Amino acid sequence: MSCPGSPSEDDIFSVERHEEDGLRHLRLSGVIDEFADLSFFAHLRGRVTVSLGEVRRINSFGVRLWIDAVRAIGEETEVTFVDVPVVLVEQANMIHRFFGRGRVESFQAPMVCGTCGRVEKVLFSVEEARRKGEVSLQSRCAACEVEMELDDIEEQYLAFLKDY
Amino acid sequence: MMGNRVFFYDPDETTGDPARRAIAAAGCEATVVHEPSLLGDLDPAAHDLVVLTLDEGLRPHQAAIMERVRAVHPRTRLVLRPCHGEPTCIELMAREPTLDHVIARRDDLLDTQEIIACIAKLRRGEVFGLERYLPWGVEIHRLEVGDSRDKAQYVREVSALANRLGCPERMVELVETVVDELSTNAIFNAPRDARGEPRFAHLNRREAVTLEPAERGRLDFAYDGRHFVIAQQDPFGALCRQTVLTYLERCLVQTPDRQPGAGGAGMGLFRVYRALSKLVFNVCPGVRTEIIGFIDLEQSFKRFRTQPKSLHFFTQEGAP
Repeated sequence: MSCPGSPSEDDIFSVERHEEDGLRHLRLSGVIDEFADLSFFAHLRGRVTVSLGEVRRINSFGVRLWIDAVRAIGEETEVTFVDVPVVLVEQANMIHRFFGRGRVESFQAPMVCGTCGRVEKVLFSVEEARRKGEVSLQSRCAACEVEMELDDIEEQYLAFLKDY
Repeated sequence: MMGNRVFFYDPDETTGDPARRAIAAAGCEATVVHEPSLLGDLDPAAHDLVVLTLDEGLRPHQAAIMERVRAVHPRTRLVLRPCHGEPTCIELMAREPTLDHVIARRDDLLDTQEIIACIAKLRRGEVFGLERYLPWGVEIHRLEVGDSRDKAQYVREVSALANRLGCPERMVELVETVVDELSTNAIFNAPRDARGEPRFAHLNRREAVTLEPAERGRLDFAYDGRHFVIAQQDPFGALCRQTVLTYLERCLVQTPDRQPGAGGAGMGLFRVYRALSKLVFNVCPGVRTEIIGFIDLEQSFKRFRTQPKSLHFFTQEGAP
């Protein structure tokens, strides 16, 4: 049971760790704020996949902690970020090399259906988004089956891909 | 307190009647002009408030008008109305020290509610309070902000209303961002000691800070039928126009190429600015500060991103 001022369970920052096929996987969730402990980044070794899809929000102090943390990742460590949520894509579009030397493999994008107005966060691989030499996002509405479009300014939302 | 003579320029003649009505509704007399050539004769001393739409017609006269306001009649208040593609409200205000009000011209429309509220606040000299922007009947929710350990609770209570209103997930996230940054500001940045020096600004934000009863801030929030509105007050009045613009401009200028480093002072304020359609600062120096933010729930996120923003800096001279 939480006390009145404590964050709800969805907001508490946490890191789950597991190994699969000899590869280390981390799953981050909750809110990255002044209380998030990101010191584990400095201790990562080898090849690591970091899943960010459950990160709900980041505040200005969380951004500072994040930048310091990813810049502390050792040169011998290969970090791949997957399922980057909209809130972190927005940060990556404001802060140069937000993911440090890490590689971004996939990211979420808010897609809207022009027919029924449905908004969905759709997961795209960076490779898929860069298909045919130009960056584009394509998905179909689950309800209407019509082509959805990005609910943001495409040029700005995809700007971070230049770094990764 | 301001007199009641208002000059209004917009090249679009369809704005004439709505502008006259809005100005009259705020208890003022309007001189409405649509012909840019008439701007050359504009005498700032003959008007208490000058509302100018920033367009090609104004551009040849803009510098001279600003200079006349600065040099001849500095008590004349200026309002600029830029549209899409013009410099941002931050850039406009940073360039022009006599400009405290920029009203965004969204979809080329005249926002009569914003004009009425702006004129009425200037005219009466009473600037504080969320209720000045809300229609009758809207319930204002209120929280006392005084303990850093309760910040998650403040965020949760405000976002609970946003969720009850059925706001889209990204809009709820904007609401949470605004509350998070504003309440941090009220607890860590706003409080001053007897000499006017910051009390807690130097502390790590992980440290627990509990404000004295007389130091506590107030978080008001409401839905006006279109906007989710959030207002944070503190009893210090330490924020000044130059600080706000310096912080916002630094983040804004670095944004296109993206900021080279992490955060820095003002990043929280810039995140608030980015989350809002309209941002209002009300300050009674040394007494009280209020920051009011409006999140427009009626437009898509894409529209929100492309629309210009309004920015106001009101100063109240007498104690509120």
